[in-house]
Amino acid sequence: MVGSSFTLNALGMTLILGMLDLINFAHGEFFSLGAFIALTLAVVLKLPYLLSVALAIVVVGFIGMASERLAFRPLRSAPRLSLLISSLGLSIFLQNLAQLIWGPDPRDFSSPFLKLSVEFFGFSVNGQRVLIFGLALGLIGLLYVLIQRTDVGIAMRACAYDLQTASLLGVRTDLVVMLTFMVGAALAAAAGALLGPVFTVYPTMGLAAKMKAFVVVVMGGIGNISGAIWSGFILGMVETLAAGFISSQYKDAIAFIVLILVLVFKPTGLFVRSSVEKV
Amino acid sequence: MKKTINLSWYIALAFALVLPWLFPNDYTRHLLVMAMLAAVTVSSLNLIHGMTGQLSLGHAAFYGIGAYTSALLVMRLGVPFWLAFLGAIALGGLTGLLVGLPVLHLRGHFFAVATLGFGEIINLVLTNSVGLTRGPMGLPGIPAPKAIGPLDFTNRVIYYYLVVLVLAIVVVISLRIQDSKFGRALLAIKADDVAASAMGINVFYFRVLAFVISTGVAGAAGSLYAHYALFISPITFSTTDSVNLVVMLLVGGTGSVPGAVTGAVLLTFLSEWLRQVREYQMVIYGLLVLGVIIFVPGGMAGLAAKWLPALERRLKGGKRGDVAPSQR
Repeated sequence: MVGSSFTLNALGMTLILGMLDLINFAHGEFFSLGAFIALTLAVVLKLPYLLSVALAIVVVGFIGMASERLAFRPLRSAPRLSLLISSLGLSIFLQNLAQLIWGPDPRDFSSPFLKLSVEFFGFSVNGQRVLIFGLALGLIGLLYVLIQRTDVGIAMRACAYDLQTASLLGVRTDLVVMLTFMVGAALAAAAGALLGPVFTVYPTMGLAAKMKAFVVVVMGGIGNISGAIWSGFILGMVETLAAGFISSQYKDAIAFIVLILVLVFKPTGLFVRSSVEKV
Repeated sequence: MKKTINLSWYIALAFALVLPWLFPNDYTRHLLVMAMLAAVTVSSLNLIHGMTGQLSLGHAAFYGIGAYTSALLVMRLGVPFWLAFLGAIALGGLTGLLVGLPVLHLRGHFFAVATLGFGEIINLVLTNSVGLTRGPMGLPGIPAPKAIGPLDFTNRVIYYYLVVLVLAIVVVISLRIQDSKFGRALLAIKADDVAASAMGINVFYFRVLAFVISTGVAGAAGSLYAHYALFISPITFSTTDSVNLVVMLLVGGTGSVPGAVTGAVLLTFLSEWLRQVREYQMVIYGLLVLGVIIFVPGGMAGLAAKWLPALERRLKGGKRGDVAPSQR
């Protein structure tokens, strides 16, 4: 269950990473903005929960687009580390903007699905978790269709493979990169808006989310969509099990230990045969 | 052979020495100490990020290791400060070695993410080993270094001079490294590691060496911090602080020794000054990072390299078409 939201969040990140070779540190902020916007719409404007989630996804999608235009496009030809630092700046900015707007205190976000419980092979499962799982699967499927079956998806894959060549072949790369950011941010927002009711919503909630997303992305292999999907579920399980059997204090450390082990032993990800980076 | 340390460094040192007398109030003097401490730490980051191009996003953790090592040695084992200070350097460097060995093979953002992971793990260990570090409650009552004759280190100005002394040593080491065969090897690695290894440079060995020196210096800074603040807790050594160090280096100018010092001092005072606008502080800070990386990627040092030759030409009355000496 938790794994499916890891996956959603990480998919957005891996899309962007595959495209621009950028580890987007602002990704966690897209996640928390998604939660905050959905919360505001649902609690303040009293919109139905699912509609608020959908609107939050759209709004954050546009924020993602705008941030690509302002923070990353000017650096297209700069070294990759500049992009990374730029995303750090964006992350600090967005996180504190959220704090300015919504205040630093954690908020409860109630969802009608929280009260439901579903019987499932003799286990009773919370309705919100079922919803997360279902919607996550739906969105992952949708993304798969977008990337594999549509023209936009072909253009996206071409850009991820080689931005310059794609541009020479007539792909409007600026537009495609912007779209990728929109999709990536929207996925993160979906994860945030869906997970918000399970935990609480606060401005720095994106931090843990983006750390987990890093781990998943690295495990799956950079820019590897199906790898990210599997890794998301694996990490979710490993973490839950490790928290139960080893120590819950070090639950967060486990994700990082996994991260470092993967980086050291299999930096191309768990699901790829090793390859040599081109010079 | 060019001289490594030129006149402007002596002027800077003289300026640093008179600074506390220009601001005789406690608060500004406190900020001066913090600025100099930041300068030491950012210089240590420059040794790895500036010189080899590897970005460490866990540097505050090494600073933290130095702080805890030194504080615990003094408090639990009764070791004198100076010995504990050396212990902090040693343990900082040792941790750097242990962290560096497995991950320094990695390039670019992989290394950045791996160090971030290690930084988080080190922080979690500091937070959770309550028996040793008192965890999130922090470690109060760290003694200041014992006075040596008339040098009483509970006095802010005296402590300031101690930190300036360490900073001066670190600056000299950095400049020496930059001008040595070692430094040129590092720069070659930064420019292109594959080409560097084709030239016969042992890329991995040099990276590890640079990282160990860098984390050792960070440990020294941590020790100085612990015995100045007299209280430490894991919150001061988080990823946010690591990012902060990167920002300072970026603003000063990555790869430049004077840039690292300038960036640290400038941002210490700037973020203090931004406190007036309270809640907007960090928002502005984020925008600042974006602005610098997009518009002045070379930081202050980059600007200086651009404007100083032009100024020099103007002063010497040279013609406009003169070719500026590229770099030094």
